[in-house]
Amino acid sequence: MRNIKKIAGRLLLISVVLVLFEIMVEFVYRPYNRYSLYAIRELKECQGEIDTLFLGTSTAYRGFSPDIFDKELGTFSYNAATASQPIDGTLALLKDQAARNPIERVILGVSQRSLVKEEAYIERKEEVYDRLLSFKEKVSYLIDGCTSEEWLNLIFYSTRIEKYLDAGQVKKNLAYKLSDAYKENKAPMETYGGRGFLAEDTIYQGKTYETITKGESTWKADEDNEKALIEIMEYCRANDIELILTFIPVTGAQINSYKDVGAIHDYVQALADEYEAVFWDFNYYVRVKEEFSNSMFKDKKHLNEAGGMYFSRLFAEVYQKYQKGEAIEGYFSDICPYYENSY
Amino acid sequence: MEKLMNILKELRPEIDFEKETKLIDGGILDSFDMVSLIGELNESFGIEISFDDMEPENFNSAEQIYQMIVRLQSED
Amino acid sequence: MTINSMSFLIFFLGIAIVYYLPFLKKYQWAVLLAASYLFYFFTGTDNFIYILVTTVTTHVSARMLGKKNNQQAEWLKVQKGSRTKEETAQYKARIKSEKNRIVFFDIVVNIGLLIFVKYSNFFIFNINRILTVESSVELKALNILVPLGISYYTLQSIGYVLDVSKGKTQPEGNVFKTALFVSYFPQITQGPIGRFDKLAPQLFGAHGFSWQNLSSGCQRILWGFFKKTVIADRMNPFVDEIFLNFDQHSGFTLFLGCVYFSIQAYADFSAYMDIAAGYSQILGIGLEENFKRPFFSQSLAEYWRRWHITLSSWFRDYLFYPLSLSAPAVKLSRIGRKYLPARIAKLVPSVYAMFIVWFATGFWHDASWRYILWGIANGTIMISSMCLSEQFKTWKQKLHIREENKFWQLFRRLRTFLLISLLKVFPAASSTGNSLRILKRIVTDFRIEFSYQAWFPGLIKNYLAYILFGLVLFLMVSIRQEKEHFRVHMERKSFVYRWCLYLVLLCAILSFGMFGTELSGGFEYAQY
Repeated sequence: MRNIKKIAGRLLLISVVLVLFEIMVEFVYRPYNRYSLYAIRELKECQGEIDTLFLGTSTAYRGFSPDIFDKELGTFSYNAATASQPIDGTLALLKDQAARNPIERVILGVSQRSLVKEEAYIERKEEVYDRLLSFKEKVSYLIDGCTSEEWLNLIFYSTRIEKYLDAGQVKKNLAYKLSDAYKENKAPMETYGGRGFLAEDTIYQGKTYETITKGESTWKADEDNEKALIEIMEYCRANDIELILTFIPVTGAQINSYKDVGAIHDYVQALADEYEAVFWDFNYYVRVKEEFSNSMFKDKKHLNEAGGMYFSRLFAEVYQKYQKGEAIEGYFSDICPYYENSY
Repeated sequence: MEKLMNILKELRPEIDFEKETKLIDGGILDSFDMVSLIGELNESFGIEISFDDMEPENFNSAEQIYQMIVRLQSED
Repeated sequence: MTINSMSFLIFFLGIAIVYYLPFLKKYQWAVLLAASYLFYFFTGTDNFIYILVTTVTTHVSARMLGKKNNQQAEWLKVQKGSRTKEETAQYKARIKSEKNRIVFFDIVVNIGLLIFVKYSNFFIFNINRILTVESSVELKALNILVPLGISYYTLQSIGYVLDVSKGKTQPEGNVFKTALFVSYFPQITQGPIGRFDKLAPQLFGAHGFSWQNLSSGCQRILWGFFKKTVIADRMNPFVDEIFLNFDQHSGFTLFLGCVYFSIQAYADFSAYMDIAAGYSQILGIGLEENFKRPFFSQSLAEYWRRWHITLSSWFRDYLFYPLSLSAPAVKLSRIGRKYLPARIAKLVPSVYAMFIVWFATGFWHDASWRYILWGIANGTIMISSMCLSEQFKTWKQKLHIREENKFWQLFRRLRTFLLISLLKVFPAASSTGNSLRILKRIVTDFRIEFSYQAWFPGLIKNYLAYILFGLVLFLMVSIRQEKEHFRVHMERKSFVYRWCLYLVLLCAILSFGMFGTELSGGFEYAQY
């Protein structure tokens, strides 16, 4: 008994020191000019109010502006998409937020690539882990979604820092983090559009396409990803959450590199049908070629500021009609418009 | 005993074999010394020290070495 | 699951709790056995057959040898007085040859297995080389997955059988206890190679929980993790790169690469030892020490008494002594006495045994010519310095160098360290050809350079700072350890001082250590 007390005392001492150390290190070293820092603080502030949650990958955090969506629909939305979000990470974020918010609808910007990927990079998992607010979800994500070798990287921010001796960065971090703007949670970059929405004003300068010839595709979803996606659909159904799966428009160049966008589309459509989820593929949007030209993108597959806002409005419009029970079939074509006339 | 002392002195003149009791455990004699020493002992005392006798407790001091020699000579 | 992983930590916590349950006190050894086999299973080697064969042959041989020992003792007692000296000698010789047969059988099976799994490809490859000169016949490579720790547990088991044969230890009666001795999990992956008389009583005895064991175990684990993550794993990618793209580096950089490799390998291997010994300490079982600050050695021979001690002492006790006392060695030394000066003649058996031992040591590490070359190079240097020692003495007298001169000692240490590092070119390179190519470059293209790129090619400056921090601390601790046991040093200090040190170490591991992202994980010596 005496030994147990002694051990507990030591463990407590170690934990307290580690927590203080981590808080200090994170304050000093987490870059002040990354949007995640502000997005996470907003997420904490919004607790209890969020009814609409955007999830998914980088196409989603550049595609859905909560501001516009809320203005059009009167919702309270938050964009919790992260770079190459692993699908089991999406599930963890959904469960975490659903337990703390009156979530009514989830809009999941599925990424074609993240369906295929077998193992996500640790940095991708960090993004998810940092956004998980409850201890329980953090632990279960560590156990289910990560290898034990990754635990330290996720739990201890200090293990993620590459350059401890970068005094310039420290100085900049401290200067901003001690300012009033930081206290008000104002992000220093103009590209940050609030509540997890990122809007960049660069314009994609790549090749434009009118029609694309379908190529050979070896597209196949990873088994674990499929399982996680199904679990998301089942979770939403069981908890009365409306789930909309969606593909966000990409450039013709990107469609071209997917070889066969139809195969991916059909696969997700079949899954959605089976589990009673809605699936809207905006690469099948009838006017995708005309409305989402290269000027709407910052690179091959990410919408820029104009594109993101435009898409948010379009999505809200479709959603409004759908909610009212009006026909929305007119928005979508049966074949990806880039493939029309290609035979 | 005297013969043994002479052999030891010749092997490593700088060591005080009268007093030292950790020849092996203290790492004073290395394995080459050991092999030379055993060759000498076999030759001079007409015994045959075998692998079975290669234990620190037989070699840690001059006294122990002497006892081993006596034992091997009177081996029954 | 390697011993430095998080999963091992959790596995171990579970084991430790079960181990110290009061009502299991009598069966602690069984808990250890179960843990060892679980660990073996989790580590991904599902091939239990090899370790089972070793366990059974070891057990049976030891038992049979034990019976022979008893038989002889019995006979000597019963026949006391009625037997002649010749009869006794005859009887002893008979028992001896029977025992030798058992030992021979045990060694053939176990070394045979080791050679089969570890070396078959090497032999096939070399046979093919010879064959293909004459014809187009080619043997197929077997590509057997080498069972975890086979190089280590084979030696440990053979050592036990030889000890029983000598009458040094009594054989264990319970085959499951023998199984534990062969497979004890903290040390199975890469040693230390234990001796039965020291390890077995600890493994089979009951241990109460002790605060002392827990705290000193944790301290060692912490220190091991520090060396592993901050020094070894941080250095690994950078050192690897030097040897992988050796043709892009100058001889000077390659030489530095050897030095770095040497340091990195020591940090890695000794870190493993600290972690393994620390975990074992928590269970109340002390493992044999494998290192005694080897880089402070003043000669190569001393280095080998302080580096991988359990391996070199195994080879000394079970190969060097038997060889140098064997009939061929005695014969050689007689011939030597006739033709050589007396001083050199005395060394003949040693030289003969040394040569074989070093060939075997090289070959034990890995089935490749570069390790054989490395072993022979080590042996040759030691043999020559042994033979030339008188010569050196005269030189030193002429130059008025005194042994206890601090600068002279420092010079010898530095010289030994650089020599060891240069020899590391064999393990460090990816093939025998490359090691020779690198060596050639070091010799022919050696110009001291002062650019960062020449000293630390491709290493991020921040990482260099972490590594240096780790090395300075490592050096300070080593110097302190030369004077006294570090635990003694720590016990003198106050609670606050000690805990500040632990916590700083812990934070340093988290900040400067390397985790998860790249190739942290395995230990280098586990491959041997």
